[in-house]
Amino acid sequence: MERWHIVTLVASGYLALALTVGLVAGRRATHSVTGYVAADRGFGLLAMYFVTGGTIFSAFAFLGGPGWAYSRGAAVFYILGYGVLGIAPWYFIGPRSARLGRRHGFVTQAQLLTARFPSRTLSALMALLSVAAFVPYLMLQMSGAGIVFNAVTEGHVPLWAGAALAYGVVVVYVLVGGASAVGWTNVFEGLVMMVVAWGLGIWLPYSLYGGVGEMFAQLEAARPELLAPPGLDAAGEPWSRGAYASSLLASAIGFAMWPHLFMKAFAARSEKVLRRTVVLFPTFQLFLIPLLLVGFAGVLFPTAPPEADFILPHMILETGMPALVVGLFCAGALAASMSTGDALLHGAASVAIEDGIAPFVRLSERARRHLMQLLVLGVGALAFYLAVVRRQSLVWLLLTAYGVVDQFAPPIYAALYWRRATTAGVVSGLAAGIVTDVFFLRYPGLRPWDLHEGILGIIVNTAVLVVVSLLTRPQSHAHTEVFVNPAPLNERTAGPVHAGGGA
Amino acid sequence: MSPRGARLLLAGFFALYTVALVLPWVVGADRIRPFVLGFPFALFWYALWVALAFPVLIAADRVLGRDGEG
Repeated sequence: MERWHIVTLVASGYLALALTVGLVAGRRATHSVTGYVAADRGFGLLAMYFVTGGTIFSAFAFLGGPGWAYSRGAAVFYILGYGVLGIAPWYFIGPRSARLGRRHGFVTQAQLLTARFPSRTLSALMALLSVAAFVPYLMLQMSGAGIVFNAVTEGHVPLWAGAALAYGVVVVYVLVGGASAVGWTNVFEGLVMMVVAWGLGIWLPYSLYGGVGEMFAQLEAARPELLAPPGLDAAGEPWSRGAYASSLLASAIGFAMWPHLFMKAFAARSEKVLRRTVVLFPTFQLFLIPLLLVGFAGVLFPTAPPEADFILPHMILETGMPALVVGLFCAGALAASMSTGDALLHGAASVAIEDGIAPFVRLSERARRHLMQLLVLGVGALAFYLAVVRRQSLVWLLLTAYGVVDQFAPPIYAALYWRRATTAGVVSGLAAGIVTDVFFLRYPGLRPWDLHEGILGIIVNTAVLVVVSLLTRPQSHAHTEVFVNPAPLNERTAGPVHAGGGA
Repeated sequence: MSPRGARLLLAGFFALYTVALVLPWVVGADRIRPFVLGFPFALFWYALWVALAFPVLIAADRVLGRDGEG
C-alpha cells in the first residue's frame, strides 16, 4: 500500500467518525425550529466551549495562519491578537442576548435586532448581508478541505473531490441533525484539532532546527524583516502600520458579531455557560502559536510549497513523517474546516429562512424546517461552485467577510445599550456602512491611511446611525427598557415582543 | 472586589491590551531582541497579553458571574 493510500484511509476513518457523532447527536433533538436552530437551548459548558472555539478556529488557523507566518512574517501576529479582544465584549452581550432570546423566542441575530427596531427591511437586509458574509467564509473552509486532501495525497485527490467529500459529510449531518449535530461534532473535531496542532508545532522546530529559539535565531540572521510587526504585505514589501492596526481592529470588532455566534448564544443552556466560554477563550487562542511556529519553520526550509496556504501540509510531507501522522494532520485540518463550515452552512440557511422569508410569507414550522434543509443544500452547492471555480487566497476571503460582519456592530450595540437609537437610524446606518465597505473593497487604492474597509464602513455606519436617530422620534421608554435593562429570567413578566418582523 | 471594580478591571485591562497589540510600535514592542522563551520579543509580547487575559477574565468572572442567572 502506498503512503497516500494510508493517509486517505485515516482521513476517511475520521470522516466516518464525525458523521456518526453528528447523526447520533442529531437524533436527540426535537423536530421543532428551536430544536433545529438552537438545539432546544441545551448546550452545556463542554459543548459550548468547543462550539465557540471550533466554530471560530477554522481552516484559516490551520492553513492561512501558517501560510501568513511563512510568506508575511510578523503580519500574522494580528491574528494572534484579535481573538481575545474580539470575544471580550461577548462576556456582556452574549448573556444579554441569550436572556432576551429565551424570553422572546429568538433563534437568529436579526430577530433580536428587529424586535428592538421593528422593520421588515432591516430583517431582509440582515438576511442578505449574513448570507453574503457566510459565503466567502464558507468558500474559505471548502478550499481549505480541498487543499488538505490534495496536498497530503500528493495530488492524487483533486481539490474539488476533497472538498466535495468533506462537505458531503457535513451536509448530511447538518441536514439530519441541525444544531445538536453541529455542537457534538464540534466537541469531537475541536479535540482532534488541538492535539494535532500542539503535536506538530512543537515537534517540527525541534526536529528541523534543534529548538524554537534556535529556529528564530537563524531566521533573524537570514530574514530579520519577518520577525517584527507589521511584517510584509502580499507582494513581499513592508506592510503599512495603518493596514496592520486596522485589520486587527476590524477582525476584533467583527468577531463577536457573527450571526452564527448569536445563534449559538440562543442554544446555550444558561448565561453562566456563555460567560465561562469567554473566560476560557484565551486557552483556545494560544493554540494558534504552535501553528505559527510551523509556518516560520518553513521559511528556511530548502523546498517551497506551490502556494503559501499549502505550507503546513508541505512541511509534513517533505519532512518524511509517517503516514499515520500525515493522516491525523489531515483529520485535524478537516476538523477545523468542517467545524466552522457546518455552523456557517446551518447559519446561512436558518437566517435566510427565518429573517429573509418568514417575515414576508406565512409558513408552518414544518415548512420552515424543510425549507432550511433545502437551503443547506443550495448554499453548500453555491459556495462549493465558487470555491472550486474561482480560487481566492484564504486571507482575502476572511478579511472580505469581516468587512461585512463589522457593519452589524453598530446596530447590535445600539439595540442593547442605547435607548435613543431609532429604527430609521439603524437601517440607514447599516445601509451606509455596507455601501462604504463595498466601495473601498472595490477601490482599495482610495482608502485613507490604508485602513481596512470594514473600519471605514463602521465609522460611516455609526455616524449615520447617531445623526439619523437623533433627528427621528425616540422609542418609548417601556420598549427600550426590555433591551437595555433586561430583568433576570426568573421573573416572567414581559410577553413576546417579537412578532416575526412587525410593521 | 465589587461588580463595579470588576467592570473597571476588564475595561482597564482591555484598553491597555488594545494599545499594546494594535499599536505595538507605540510601546516599543515591535522589536526582535531580546528573545524570551525562545520567541522573538514581538511574538512573546502578543502571547503574553493573550495569556494575561485568562487570569484577568477569571478574576472578573468570580465577581460578575454571581449576579443574574449565571
